[in-house]
Amino acid sequence: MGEPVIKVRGLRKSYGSVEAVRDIDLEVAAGEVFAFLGPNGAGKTTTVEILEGYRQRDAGEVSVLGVDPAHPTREWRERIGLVLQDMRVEPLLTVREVLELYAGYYRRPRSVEETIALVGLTDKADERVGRLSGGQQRRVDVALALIGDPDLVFLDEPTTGFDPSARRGAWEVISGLRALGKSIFLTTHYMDEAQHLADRVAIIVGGRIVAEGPPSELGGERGRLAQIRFRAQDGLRAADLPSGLGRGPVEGDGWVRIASDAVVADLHALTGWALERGVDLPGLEVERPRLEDVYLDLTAEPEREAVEA
Amino acid sequence: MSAAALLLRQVAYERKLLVRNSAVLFFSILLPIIFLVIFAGTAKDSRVAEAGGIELSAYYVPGIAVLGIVSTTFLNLAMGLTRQREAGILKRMRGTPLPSSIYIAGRVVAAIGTAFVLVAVLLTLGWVLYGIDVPGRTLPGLVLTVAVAAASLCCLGIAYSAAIPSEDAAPAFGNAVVLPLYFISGVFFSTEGAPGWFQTIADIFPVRHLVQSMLNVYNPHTAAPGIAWGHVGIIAAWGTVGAVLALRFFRWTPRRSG
Repeated sequence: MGEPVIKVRGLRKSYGSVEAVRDIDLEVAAGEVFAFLGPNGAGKTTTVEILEGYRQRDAGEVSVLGVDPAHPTREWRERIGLVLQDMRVEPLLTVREVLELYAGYYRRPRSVEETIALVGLTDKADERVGRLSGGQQRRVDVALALIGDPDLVFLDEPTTGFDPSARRGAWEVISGLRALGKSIFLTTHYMDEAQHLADRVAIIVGGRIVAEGPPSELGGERGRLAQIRFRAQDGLRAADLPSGLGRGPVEGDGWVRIASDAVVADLHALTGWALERGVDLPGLEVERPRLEDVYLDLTAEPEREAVEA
Repeated sequence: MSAAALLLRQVAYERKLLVRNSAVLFFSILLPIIFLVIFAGTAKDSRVAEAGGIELSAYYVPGIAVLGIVSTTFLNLAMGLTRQREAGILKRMRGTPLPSSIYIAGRVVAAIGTAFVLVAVLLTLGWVLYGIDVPGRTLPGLVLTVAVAAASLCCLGIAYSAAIPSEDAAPAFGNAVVLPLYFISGVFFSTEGAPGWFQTIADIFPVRHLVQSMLNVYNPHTAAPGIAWGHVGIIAAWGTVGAVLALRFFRWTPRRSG
């Protein structure tokens, strides 16, 4: 792995007496999909806008593609694609006209037609942007972010306001970006989105990073362990099971649960045991930890602290 | 692409947007033409001493031309840039490699071009409908006046957009400045009979000097090349102030996002 595409050390930003960002460190590797989560007012937008070159920081070191975004250069802008909430294009131009205009701003743009096809707007190419649906306009945004063939793409809540099928469509486009080798910095409110798309997640609350890591490892033990469970019945009690399964079986609510950080090995041992005994494991399933629970835990705690302080 | 080629592309883009924007087309281009036809048409046979005893209908031609210049430059940029800023269009532009200076230059060049076309249309209408023409010898004065005024009013419009909080407020902010200036500067009727303090106030602002400069061009007694340096100079000074304020206060990102 080469130089990280984004490197942040000790980032700080205040508005008057309000500390929006308090000493943040971040690192995003090349080719990685990085999700940045946090409730509104947590310092998420401030951080992202500093990385994008729209806002100046008070303190800390920031490097994005090797450049300090406080002093954006034309070459740097060539390598960055942006899909932001509060960005629009002129509604009076057609999809193709907008993309042709923007393609001219870059030295090595992607093909306009290919890019329109990539976001699935080929049959809307000659429609004025203002006449497209919200989801289609968002796809124009994605196409514009890609037209310069950037190395790094910022996606700010790319699916907010989408219906479920439009969200699936957007996820496919984003997965496609990863396949193109782009590094992606994603902000989102949706935990399933981060879980589905991101290699790594950082959660910001009250201007501080409270957790960082792969979605499956967030939230310490509770976030990492999967639950293997099946219905408890005679001969299938926690006490009947062989030893050495996960963290040991626990019984309750009519279920036997095994917390496991090695699901494949533990399932193998469990099902092997059941086959040997010639018994079924009714209702057998594996529950992955949900990022949403981890997130709710993490974002709730500092607020409580703040109230007590 | 070279800076010149990029600039040409931007101007073509602005022109395309103008042609498709019926509201802007109506208010900044059609309305001055309608004013000219109505005002000058109802004012036949009256005379105005101020511009060398010309007919009142002849007075209206340069007056409405001033209105056209102000609306295609100052109002167009102040209101248009506010709309684009609040809609996030400027933020999007700012995120591309296109140098900001070329984007702004594209807007300014397109607006100056529109001002020239509109002035040409108005003067041609004045000549065809009312037989009022610009003496050939003052043509340099006309061209210089329109060029300096259009450029200066663009700078002021860009600066003023920074003071307008939202798209909804833009028409009110624009008209609050422009309408009083039209009246005290003699765009709609001559203010030569007005008291001295009235003239003193009007003389502070660039619209009055633009009117004076245009009347000077139309005055049949004006000698070649018809350049009223004093008036043109004051307009240019206002433009310089506008440019300085624009560089200091202009913003690319929506206000509502803080």
